[in-house]
Amino acid sequence: MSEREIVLAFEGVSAAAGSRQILRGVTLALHAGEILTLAGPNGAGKTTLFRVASRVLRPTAGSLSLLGRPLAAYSRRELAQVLAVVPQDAPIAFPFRVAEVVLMGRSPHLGALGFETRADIERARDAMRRTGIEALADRSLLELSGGERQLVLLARALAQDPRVLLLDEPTAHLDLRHRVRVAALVRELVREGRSALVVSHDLGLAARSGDRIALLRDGELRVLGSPREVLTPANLRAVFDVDSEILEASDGALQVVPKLS
Amino acid sequence: MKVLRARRVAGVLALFALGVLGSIVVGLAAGPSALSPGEVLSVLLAPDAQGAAADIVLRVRLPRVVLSLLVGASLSVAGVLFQALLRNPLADPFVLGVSGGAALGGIAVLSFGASVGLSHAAVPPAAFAGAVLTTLLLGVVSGSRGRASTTSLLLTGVVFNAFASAGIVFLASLAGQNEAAGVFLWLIGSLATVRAEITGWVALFLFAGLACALPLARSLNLLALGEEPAQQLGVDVVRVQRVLLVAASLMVGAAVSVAGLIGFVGLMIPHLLRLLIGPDHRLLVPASALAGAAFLLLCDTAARSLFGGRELPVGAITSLAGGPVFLWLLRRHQQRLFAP
Repeated sequence: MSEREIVLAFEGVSAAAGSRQILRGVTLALHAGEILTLAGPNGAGKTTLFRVASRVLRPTAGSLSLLGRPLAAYSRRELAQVLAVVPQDAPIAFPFRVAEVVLMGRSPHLGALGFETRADIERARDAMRRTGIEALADRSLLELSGGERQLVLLARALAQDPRVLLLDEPTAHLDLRHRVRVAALVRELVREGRSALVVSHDLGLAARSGDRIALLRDGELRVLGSPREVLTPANLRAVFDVDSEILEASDGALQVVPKLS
Repeated sequence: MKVLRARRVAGVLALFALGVLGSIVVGLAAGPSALSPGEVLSVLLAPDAQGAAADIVLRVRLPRVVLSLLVGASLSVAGVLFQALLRNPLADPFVLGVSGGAALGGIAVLSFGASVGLSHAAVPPAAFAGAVLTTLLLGVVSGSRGRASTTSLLLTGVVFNAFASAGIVFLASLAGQNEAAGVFLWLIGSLATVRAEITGWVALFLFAGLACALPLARSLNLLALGEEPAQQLGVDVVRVQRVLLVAASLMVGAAVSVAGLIGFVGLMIPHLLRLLIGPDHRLLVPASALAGAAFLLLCDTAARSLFGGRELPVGAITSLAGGPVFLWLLRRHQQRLFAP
C-alpha cells in the first residue's frame, strides 16, 4: 500500500474556525486507487478536513499537496479540475433542474463564456446514469427528497471527472438499496484510478468498502489502518466513548455492534 | 434532458428584442396626440423626416423612450444581480434600500453640488457611490456572508429606505428645493424630466455594468449553490462578488440619477422570467435587460397617455403593480422555507 502513489497529503495540518482550534497537526496520505474512510465523533474535524483540502479554509499550520504539487499553487479552477467535493446537502437558491446542476460539474473544464459541448452533456448524462437519477433530469432540485438530492450531488462530482473525490457522508440520507449502490459506485470509481476520502458514520459499510479507516477525535488523528487494525473495541472506546462488539460476517467483513450500557 | 444551448439563447433573445421594438413603436405612437404605428414607422424610416409628426416622434417622445428603455434594463438586471449575490429571490435594489442610497447620493449633488462646482453630470457618479456604500452597509448589517436571511435583508432595507427618504427631504429642504415637485418625483420615481446630457451617462453605466456581468453569468449559476460549493467548482467567489457589486451599483446609480426611486422592476421582471425561461443566468441576464426595458417603457407610456391630459409618475404604476407581486412572492418564499 505505502509504495503506491500519494495523491493527497496532509502534513501536520491545523485549522481553526474563528478562534476555535478544530484540526491539530493532522498528517495523512490518500493513495491512488484507494478509499480512505474518515470516522469520528461529531465535531471531530472531519468536515473541516474537507474544507481545508478543497481550499475553502486556509490551514493555520502545516501544508497540503495534491498530485505532488502544493495545494496553494493551484488556481481554483485547476483545483476543481482534479478534486471534487460531495457535500452533505446543498440548499439551492433558485429552481435549477437536476440536469442543470449536474452539468455545473463541467464548469471547471469550460471556457469563460462557454456553453457545454455535446461531450460535456454526454458526460453529465453518463454521471446521471451511473447514479441512477436519469429519470429526475428535468425535475427541479427544490422538489427532490434529501436522498435524491444527495445522488444529484454525487452525479455532479462525477461529471467533474476528478482524480480525487471528497465525500461527506454520501449515504447519510439514503435507504439501504441506495447505500449499497453508492458504495459500489465509489468502489468502481477508485478502480478507474481515482481516490476517495469518505466521511462516514457507517463503520460496517466502511469496513466492507473502504481500504483503510482513519479515526479522528478532537481534531487529532487517533488511529489509522486497515479495518481489522482500526475496528477494535479498545479503539472505538478511546474515540467514541462507547463499548462495542466486533462481529465477522460470513465473507469476513467486520461489523460493529455498539453495546447499550 | 433539457439543456440550455447557445441556439436557444439566441432564439429567445431575438424574440425578446422583437418585443422591445414593438414596445418602442407603441411608446412613440401613444400620447396626447396619438399617432398610428404606420406614421411612427414612416418617420423612423425616413432619413430626414419633417413636420409635426416628426417633431413629436423624434424630439418629444424619442428621448424619453430611450431613457425609459435604459432605466428599465438597468433596474431589471440590477435585480437579477442582487438576487444572485444574496441568493435570495426577494432581493431588489428598491426593496433593499440600495436605490434609496443612490438617490441620497444624487440629491446631495443636486442640492449642494453647484456650490462646490459640480455640474448636473456629477449626479450619476454620486448615485453610483451611494449605491455602492449602501450595498456594503447592507452586507455588514445583514451578515450576508453565506446566505443572508430574508428577514434581516428586508428589515435592513426598510430601515435604509426610511433613512434615505428622510435624508432626501432633509437635503432638499436645506437647499430650498422643498417647494418643487422635484423631491416628490425623486421619491416616487418619474421619467418626466429628460436631460440629454445625462442620457449618455446612463447608457454608459448600463453597458459597463452589462459588460461586467455577462461574462460572469455562469459563475452566477454556481453561486446559487452557495459560496463554498461555488469555490469548490472553481469560482473565484470574492472577485465575482466584487465585480457584481460594482456592476449592480453602476446600473442602480444610472437608473436612479435620472428617474428617482422606481420600485419593484428588478423584482417582478426577473421572477417572471425565471418562470418563463428558467434560472440560468446566461439567458436570464440578457433577457432581463430586454424585458425590463420593454416593461418600463410600456409602464411609462401608460403613465403619460392613459389618464387623459394628466401624467402619472411611472414609479406609482410600477409600485402599484409591484407591491402585491412582492407580497405574493414573500408568501410563496416562506411556504417553501417552512415546508417540511
